[in-house]
Formats: sequence, structure tokens, C-alpha cells
Amino acid sequence: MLRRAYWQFYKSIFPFIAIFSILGVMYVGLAWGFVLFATIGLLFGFIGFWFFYNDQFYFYYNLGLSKKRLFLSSFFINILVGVPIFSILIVFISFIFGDIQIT
Amino acid sequence: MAIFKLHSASKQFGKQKVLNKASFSLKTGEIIGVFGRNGCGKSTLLKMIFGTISANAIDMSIDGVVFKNFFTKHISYLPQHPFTPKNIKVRDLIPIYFSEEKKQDAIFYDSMIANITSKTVGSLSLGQVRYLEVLLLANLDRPFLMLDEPFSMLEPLHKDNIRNLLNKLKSSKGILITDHYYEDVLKVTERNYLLKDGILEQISSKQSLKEKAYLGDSSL
Repeated sequence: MLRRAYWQFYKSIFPFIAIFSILGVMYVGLAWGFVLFATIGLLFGFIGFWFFYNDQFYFYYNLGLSKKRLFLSSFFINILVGVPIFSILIVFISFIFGDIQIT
Repeated sequence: MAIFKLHSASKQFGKQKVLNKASFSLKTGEIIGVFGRNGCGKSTLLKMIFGTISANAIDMSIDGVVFKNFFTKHISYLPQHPFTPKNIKVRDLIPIYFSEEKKQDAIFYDSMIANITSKTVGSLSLGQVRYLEVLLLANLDRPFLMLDEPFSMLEPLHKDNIRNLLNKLKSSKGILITDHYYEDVLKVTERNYLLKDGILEQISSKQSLKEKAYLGDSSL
């Protein structure tokens, strides 16, 4: 049951992480873009959720999931699932737009 | 039967004392109402009990066992604003809360839900969302349920559905409701409190709400 909740939360924050990290790739390059994705990108995703969907935290609180647990679970999902998805996304964007680094 | 007791709760925002040793008790099998003017601390009180707002001081227990906060172990909490993710279909939402087929079915086959399971939460009316949320929380295995404004902005039919649901739930849960729609609340509650100047005071009738300046003359 909680596995689905963790996954739902991660799906909600993934767009914020991806946007932040794609901007990162554009400005600091692919390697650093990945580092950003796996580290502070997650923080950015969390803040994005907080800012836009703050009320939805209660969906998870009622299941017994605190912000800390959501953050930690998202960190692991991000490493296991998000990084491969982000890799595919970058390859796809590069395929369409070519080299996407702008600096 | 389980008994929840809020022995004392205090909260101050800067110099403003919102809750001053507020106390009440709630047992499974009853519904109580909490009234109070805007900004008097009703939602703050519920969030403090639930554990999502810190208290300056709080002392509460269930069946005599003292807890710091209940953060979901014993209490489910319906916040003032809809809390379910909007981009998910109702049929995908239910299994996130319940893995047991029996509990899933209790929601899937509810007369109000059965015909909206293929819709996303974002496309539902406010009344449908509120009903779905109450139903989700009601089926969680917790003896107490706190509802912050469950009737607000709902059409009469949806209010009736929520009231019927609450009456059904009463046999197994202790329920606390706070809402400005006092007529709807009074129809389902056994005991009622007014939160004024940080203190929870038990009231006996609609007339008391007027005497305590919660209702105006034209409300009676």
C-alpha cells in the first residue's frame, strides 16, 4: 500500500526535478546536470510540491507518511528509477535539438 | 470503546494567544462539533492534535495512554481544503490507500463513487471530492476522525450524503466536526463546543451560540 503512495508522491515531484535538471544540463553540461538531478534537483522537486500542492501533503500524512519519509523514499526512487528515466529524456531531447548545452 | 482526551492544549502566535488550555473529550460512538469565528484557532487545534502544527503545550491521551501527537496512528484528519491529487483517476487513487480488496470494494461500490471511478479527481465537483475524501479517511483503520469544514460549499444533496455517511460511521468511530454550516453540524452532533478566546466551552443549543456571540439575531 505504502509503495504506491511513495510512487505517487515521486510522480508528483518528478516534473519539477526534470525541469530543474534540464535547465542544469543546458547551463552546466550533461555531467553536472545529472549530479543536480540526483541531488538538489530532488530538493527543488520537493519545494515545488510544497509551493504548488501543499494541501496534498495531507494525502500522505493520513497514511502515516511524514515529509521526512517522503523525502527519503523519493531520494531512493530518484536514484533507482528517476536517473534512467532522466537519461532517456536527455537522449530524446538531444536527438531532437542536438547539443542542448547553451554555455 | 476508545476515549480520546485532550487534557490541555495551548498555542500562541507571537503575542496572540489562540488556544489557552483548551480541553475536550471524545469517545467512539459519538460525534461532536466545534464552532468558532474565523481565525479563532479551530483548524490550528485540529492540526495540533493531528501533529502537523507544533503546540506550545499539549497533553492528550487515548484510553489513558499519553501521546505527544497522534500523527495518523489513531486519528485521520480531513483538512479544510481538498487534499487528494487532482491528476489521478479515482480508480487508481483508492488502491493507494487500501491494499485489501474488501476495503477497496467498500469505496468502489459506494453509490456515490461507483459512477465516477473512471474520472480524474480534478474533474469531480467539490462535493464529490469531499465525499470521496471523507470516505477514504473513514475506511482507514483509525478510531477517531477529525473533519475540518466537511460541509463548506457543498450542495444540499452532497451534504445529505456526508451526513448519512457520518451517521453510519458513528458506530465505530469518534468524530469531531468543525464547520460554519452550524445547522448541518447540529443535525449530526451529540455535544458541541464553542472556541472563544482560546477556551473550548460546551454549549447546549443554538441559542447558546447566539448568547456567546457566534450567531447574530437573524440566525435564529
